[in-house]
Amino acid sequence: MLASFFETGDLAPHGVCLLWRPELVWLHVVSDAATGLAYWSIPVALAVLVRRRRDIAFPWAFELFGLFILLCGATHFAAIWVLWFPDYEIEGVLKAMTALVSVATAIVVWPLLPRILALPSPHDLASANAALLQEVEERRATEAQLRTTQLELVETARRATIGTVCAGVAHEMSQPVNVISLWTERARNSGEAPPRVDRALSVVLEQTRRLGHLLDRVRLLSRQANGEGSIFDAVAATTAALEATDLPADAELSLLLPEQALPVRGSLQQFTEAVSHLLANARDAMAATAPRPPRLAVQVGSGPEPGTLAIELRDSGGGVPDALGQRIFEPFVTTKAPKAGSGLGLAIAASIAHSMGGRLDYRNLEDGSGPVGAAFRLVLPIAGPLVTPAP
Amino acid sequence: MNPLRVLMAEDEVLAAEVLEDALAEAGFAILSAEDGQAALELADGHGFDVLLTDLRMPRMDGRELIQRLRQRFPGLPVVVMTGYDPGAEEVALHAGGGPLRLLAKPLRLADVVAAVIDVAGARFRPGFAP
Repeated sequence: MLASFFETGDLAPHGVCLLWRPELVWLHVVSDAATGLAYWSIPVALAVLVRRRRDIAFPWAFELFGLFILLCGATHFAAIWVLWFPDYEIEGVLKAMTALVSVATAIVVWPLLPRILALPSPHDLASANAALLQEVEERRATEAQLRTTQLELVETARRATIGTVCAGVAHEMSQPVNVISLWTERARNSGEAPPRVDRALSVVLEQTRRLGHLLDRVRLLSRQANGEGSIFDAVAATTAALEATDLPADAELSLLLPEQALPVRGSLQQFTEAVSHLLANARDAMAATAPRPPRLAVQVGSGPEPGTLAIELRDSGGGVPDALGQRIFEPFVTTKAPKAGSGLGLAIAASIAHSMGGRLDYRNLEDGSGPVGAAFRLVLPIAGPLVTPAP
Repeated sequence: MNPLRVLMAEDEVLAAEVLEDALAEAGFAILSAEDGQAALELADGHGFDVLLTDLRMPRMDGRELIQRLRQRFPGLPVVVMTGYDPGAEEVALHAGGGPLRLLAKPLRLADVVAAVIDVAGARFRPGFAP
């Protein structure tokens, strides 16, 4: 049966149908040859593509396409062959194989289409890449800022140590110098000393003055070593930071400030920065969540321990997610949308509180159904006893 | 005219001795205490016009002494003798209201006398008993 199928003795070559008219024969030969060659070049290109690009999606689909086009090309070469040799069975089998692979490819291409469409385009990839690069750049910048802040804090601590040592030396030395100076001056003022003794007393006095100037310079060094560290009023500084912060226009602000000044020791600039970070944090938390209007309460008063003061900011920003907890004081931990916050503000505020001998803590404010806001509290040592101003 | 009465708190006895001597010679009446606590106790039973105090002292320092005495006697004139410069703003912040002068050690006797007279100023009048 198979043998008789390939028995083609009584069939005429296809050229007979064309009556061997040379122009017709050559038109078919050249067209089929060109089409077949073109078809066969495409799978080669696909093969090179699949082999070189290891990351290509659906490589088997490319192989199927390659086979489909290879077979298409083969049918065109078979068409040339049968012009002279009537092997229509071989041509038919080739066409049948082409049909099989073509139909399979046509069936496969439809379910594949949505998956191919879902692949990110080179443009998508490029913009995602650009966004990533920008984020890396931003992180690098904020990391550099954090490092600078840390170095500043270390430097501040180092200079404070030098300042303390200088102040101590100046104080201890000034006591005996003071006694020498006072007694010598008193002896000289008595007017009882003979001229040689009076001259001696005057030399001693001059030298104690010189020592006095030297001590003045050591005191000055001590103050300089402490940097901008000075005593300032935390109440006034908090008020100033509040005035410098842009709060939402519809925000309801309540202020509870003591009547007397609350002195703290440290850098006024750093303190202001810490309070500003807390204010910005509260503002951003309230911008992100309902309900309106945002409510912010700022309270300055006695701290939880004797000799401390507390600056507390209570916001209506929904509170800190439990999952974050104390991690909010770590660098780069933020609940804000990307690019809305660096995640450094609270870390910097906490470092500043620490450098001033205090701390920063928080608690969530509950209304029975869950957290409605957060209360951030800056606890700092009061620099010396409190004074009630004279009436 | 009654002499100007000076309550002095100074823990360095050798400095206190010569200051007492020189201030008495300048015509002031001196109440001398060896620290802030003693000065506070002395202030209970005696009238005085000016407080002359060291800052660093055992038991009670000058800062607290000034604060407590000014709570009781608002506007009390004060002269501070200090071996370390805490900055005028710091003392002023703690001192409440009233005239205040800072003198750095080593002291000159003439400066101490002048400062006491200066802060006493208009407030000094015979018989003023805070």
